[in-house]
Amino acid sequence: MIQVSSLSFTYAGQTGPAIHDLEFAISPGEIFGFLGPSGAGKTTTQKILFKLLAGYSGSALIDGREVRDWDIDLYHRIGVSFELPNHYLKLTALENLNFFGAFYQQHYRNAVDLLAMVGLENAANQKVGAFSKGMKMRLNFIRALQHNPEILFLDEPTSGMDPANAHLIKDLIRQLQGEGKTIFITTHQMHDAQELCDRVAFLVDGRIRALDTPKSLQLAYSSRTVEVQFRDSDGVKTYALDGLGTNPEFLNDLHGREVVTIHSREASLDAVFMEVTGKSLV
Amino acid sequence: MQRFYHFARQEFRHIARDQMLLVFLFAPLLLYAFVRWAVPALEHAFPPIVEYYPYISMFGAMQTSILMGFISAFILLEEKDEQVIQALRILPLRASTFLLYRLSGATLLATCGAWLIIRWGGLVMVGGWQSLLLALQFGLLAPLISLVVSTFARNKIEGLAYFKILDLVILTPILTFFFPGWVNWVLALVPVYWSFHAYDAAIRGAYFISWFGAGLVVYAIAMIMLGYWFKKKVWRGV
Repeated sequence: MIQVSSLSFTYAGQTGPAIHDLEFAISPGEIFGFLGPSGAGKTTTQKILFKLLAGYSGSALIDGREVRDWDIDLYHRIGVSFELPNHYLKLTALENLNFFGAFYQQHYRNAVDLLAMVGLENAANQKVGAFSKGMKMRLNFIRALQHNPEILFLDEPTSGMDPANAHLIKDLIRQLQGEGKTIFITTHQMHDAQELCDRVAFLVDGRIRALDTPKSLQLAYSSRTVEVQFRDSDGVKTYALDGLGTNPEFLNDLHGREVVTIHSREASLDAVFMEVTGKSLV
Repeated sequence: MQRFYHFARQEFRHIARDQMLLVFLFAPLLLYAFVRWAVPALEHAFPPIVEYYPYISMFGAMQTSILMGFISAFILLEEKDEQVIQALRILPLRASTFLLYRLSGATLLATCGAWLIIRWGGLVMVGGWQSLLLALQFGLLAPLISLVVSTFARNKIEGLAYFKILDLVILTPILTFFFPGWVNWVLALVPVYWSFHAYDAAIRGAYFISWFGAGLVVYAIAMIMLGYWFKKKVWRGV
């Protein structure tokens, strides 16, 4: 569905490329995440894919056609939710949706239903200028859905949202995947990526440093140990995960002491990111 | 046609919810009232004013267009400020089509306003079809203003400064009627120069079509250049 190879881009007036030799492919129905700190090239890559930036080198294919060769028809196929809210502030939420929705040929989703989907039904007739950032971001999100596109580009989809609304948006993203949509997310929220993405790519300084499923990345960088906390002591005791079932010390402790917690030492995606890239996600 | 309607409705809502734009929208009616009733009322107190009637009418037609141009420029600047242009760019909509929709309302209102002043202002008489052509050409000033301001002003505050400066610059070709000389041809670069002279020619009954035709060419060149810059700096510059 999306195929990128040797993709590089340099902004006018800049000496170095913003992205360098990117290679990745996104299959139909997949949620793919681009993770990286601010300025890593995540948004640049997306902007190339939805044709806001021209003059790239390498190849970027959507549905087998080079992005530069797509006409405005591309915008019937894709939906974009930007990193920052961009709405007519003097118009209401409903007026905004109806205005943008009027440009699509195909039957689009009902604006009132979309507003209800993200809990904005009571704010439908409120001017967007009076919205909080989280409300504006939810409006960004549903605007991307109103023509029922096959491919969704979501740039920091939960940015500025409280945990409950972020959870709602993540549920909706999973639901959209269930409907067969292909979703390309950029985020620096590791937790979101871990929860949502089938595969993630770590992007730092315009280069992909790792690309795999979140689970595989976590496992690859996990220490194969188990930590157990017992009632009769303050600290935790560590056992090797390999041969755990036959480890006499571990079995003896399990029988003789009361266990408070027991955890495998699986690395968080955050820790993996830092380990792979040497950078934190700020 | 339906898209024209959507743009028109959205623009109207914008204007209705912004006090300054609302004043600008109705200002041409005040201008008309000034031209139609206030100026003739001054005739008794200051008889030489009659000699200036054509220029007062020209000013009225020009100012109407500038006001309408500024309204659409302001909406475009808001789209730029709030990054709505980005959202518009991912619609199945070309830059040229967008500009056609966005600027046609201002052009139409400017033409109507200019026609009101030229045809029914009462200060000078210009024939029916000539008054309509003149109004159309004055109306083309609105999209030009809109494109200049929205392309080169970085935000609404700068836009207001542009408006004040452009208002003066665009009026300068009227000086060519008072200070003749070859230097005046420099002012021919300002499109409204040709509209002023076409208006003058229509009043005098000579060479109207020549002035009008040449004016259309200048307006077209200015429009193509500004459209190109808008596309490069604003539409693609997001």
